[in-house]
Amino acid sequence: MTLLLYTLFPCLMLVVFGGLFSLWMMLYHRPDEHLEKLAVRFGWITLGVFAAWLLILSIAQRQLPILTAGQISVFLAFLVWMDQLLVERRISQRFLTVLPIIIVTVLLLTGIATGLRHTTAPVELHSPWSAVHIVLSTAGVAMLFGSGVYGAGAILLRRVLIRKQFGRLFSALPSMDDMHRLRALAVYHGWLLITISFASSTLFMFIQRAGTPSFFSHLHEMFALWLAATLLALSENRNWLGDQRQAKLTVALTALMFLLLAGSVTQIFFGGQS
Amino acid sequence: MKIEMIGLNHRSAGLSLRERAAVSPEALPDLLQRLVGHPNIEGAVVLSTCNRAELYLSPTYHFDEAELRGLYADACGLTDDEAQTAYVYRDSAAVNQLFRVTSGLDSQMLGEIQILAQVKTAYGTALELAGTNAILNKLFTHAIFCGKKVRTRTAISQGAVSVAYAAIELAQRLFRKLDEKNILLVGAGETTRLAAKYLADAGGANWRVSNRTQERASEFASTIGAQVASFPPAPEDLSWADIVVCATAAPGAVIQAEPAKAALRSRKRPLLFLDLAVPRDVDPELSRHDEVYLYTVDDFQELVAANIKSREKEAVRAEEIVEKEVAEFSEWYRQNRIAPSLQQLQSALESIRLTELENQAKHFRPEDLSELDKFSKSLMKKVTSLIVANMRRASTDGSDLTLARAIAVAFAGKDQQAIEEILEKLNHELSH
Repeated sequence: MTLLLYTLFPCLMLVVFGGLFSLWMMLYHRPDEHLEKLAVRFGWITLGVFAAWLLILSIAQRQLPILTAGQISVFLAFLVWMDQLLVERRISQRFLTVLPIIIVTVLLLTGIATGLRHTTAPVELHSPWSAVHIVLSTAGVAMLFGSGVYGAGAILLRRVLIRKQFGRLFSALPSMDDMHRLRALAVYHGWLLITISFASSTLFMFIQRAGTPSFFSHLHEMFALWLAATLLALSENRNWLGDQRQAKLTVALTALMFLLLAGSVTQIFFGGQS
Repeated sequence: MKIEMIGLNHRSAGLSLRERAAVSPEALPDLLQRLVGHPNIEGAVVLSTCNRAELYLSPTYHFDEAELRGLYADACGLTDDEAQTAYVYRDSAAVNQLFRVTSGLDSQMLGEIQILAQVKTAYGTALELAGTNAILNKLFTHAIFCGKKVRTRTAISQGAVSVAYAAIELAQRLFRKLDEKNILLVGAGETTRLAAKYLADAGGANWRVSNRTQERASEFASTIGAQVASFPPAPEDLSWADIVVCATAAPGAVIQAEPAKAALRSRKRPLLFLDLAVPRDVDPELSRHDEVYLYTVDDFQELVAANIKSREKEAVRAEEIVEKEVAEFSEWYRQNRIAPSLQQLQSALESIRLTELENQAKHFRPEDLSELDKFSKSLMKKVTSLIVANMRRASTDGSDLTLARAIAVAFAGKDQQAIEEILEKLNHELSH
């Protein structure tokens, strides 16, 4: 069982995402609606297998898959792929499916490399509050990843349009309107999730003050993450910069937020209390 | 195989000849009736479009080529000499021709999609007027399926192949829905009006018209429900617009960089300039703005050229699909050659089954009769499938119709004429 959960399943997921990557790259070069429908269906099956794995893992360890840095990375990969499939239902996109697959693969690899099997997980992670906090933050970051992908897509499409490169990318990317709309949606949802996560954790920390050590060991990183997300959401909402500059800002802040998440995870598993 | 086609298209005949060969929708029912009334024709479909006039026939026996050309000349109102320029395809070559036509591979503009609807209409009309038989029904449904398959599995129909549609394609790369966008038309000449028509077809609904002559601007604006803007467009018109279409005959730039920059300074959403004028109407300097996308006639032509090249690449894949579908149809046809024997077998066995059921009914309780009926059907089905499977195998593997002939004779009863008819059909099938 241990071998299945911590070794075979993650390797299987890597192989499956490798297959999906090849399939979408092929579709990018050779458009085929029939094959595209099959690829989308295959994507949903993959999500189902991924969910089943995480569910069995959660049942086996009696906690959501957040007990190691590797598990959080894998959980984030799952959320990124779920986001991608939900977007795919609304907008057909060949090239922008490849980017989430790459992100998921990198996260899966990171998860496997940093270790999925927990021997001694930090005691504060067994609290239901910590589970809620980590799930919300991870879902928020997954959303913000999505906004980064659409920001990158908008920059790429602008480049293609300005340089008048009427090749595969020109027809494989969604329209600029779609990319701006999806980016904004992802930013708002990401901000909301991170805000709820931050607020609920702060509240819990306040209630728990007199008790045992707080699970909230990365306050500075969490606050910086929330601040970056708030700045992004505000700028999006007020349209301070215009669509193209907003896309660039989203890509930059998404990268920063990923670093902050990585910092938080490091604090939880390898650092001291803040 | 007994399928023949004869026709003219844009490659084999000039426009004037194609015009004369074209069959009007009003004349079509009469022509179809005449064709299926021919003693050697079991079914016919007439495909007449601006680029082709083709007859697809399912004859009882193959026509002599001269006879077929005569038939075509008569059907399309051409002289015998003119009918000599028509191309003739038989059997799998005719199937291949129809499949290439529905796939857009035989069209003047590679991959065009209207032809599929035209083939559907032609087949639908023939079907309605009882002008088709089982072979043509299968042929045309398979051809339509093939046309759809080619379009979903390749990109042969993707990308604009005319300058006007190239402009629309560019607009759609930026904007998802044109009905929510503001369109400023600069100029009121033919080109602007044509562009407005295409944009309206693509959903464009909010317009302003700017023209040097106010009367013409008002007249044009009234035809599309637009507001009249000043000429040259004021900064507020540029701020309002998402798409600016320019096609004036002005000798220099109508939208100059300096005044336009004021409108663009605070701009935070994309602005698309479609400059259809020569010399250009929009100062190229404007394209340096983050939210400005500027395209000229040369760019549209470049996009069209890129799309044509891409369609040509896709045509190779499309041909492969057509080839596979033709082989599949031929396989169906080969299996279907035993149809006369098959019908004979099925009707003979069914007749025996019903007679025996009636004879044996008295030995069973009334409530058991339905079970007896089920049993007899199942028994006959098993016997028939075994014989049919072997007949099919023999007819497809080695083109051997001996078994089919034997079955036809064995189950024909006493009707000698029926036996001869079936044997003649089987012999004719084998000879092709």
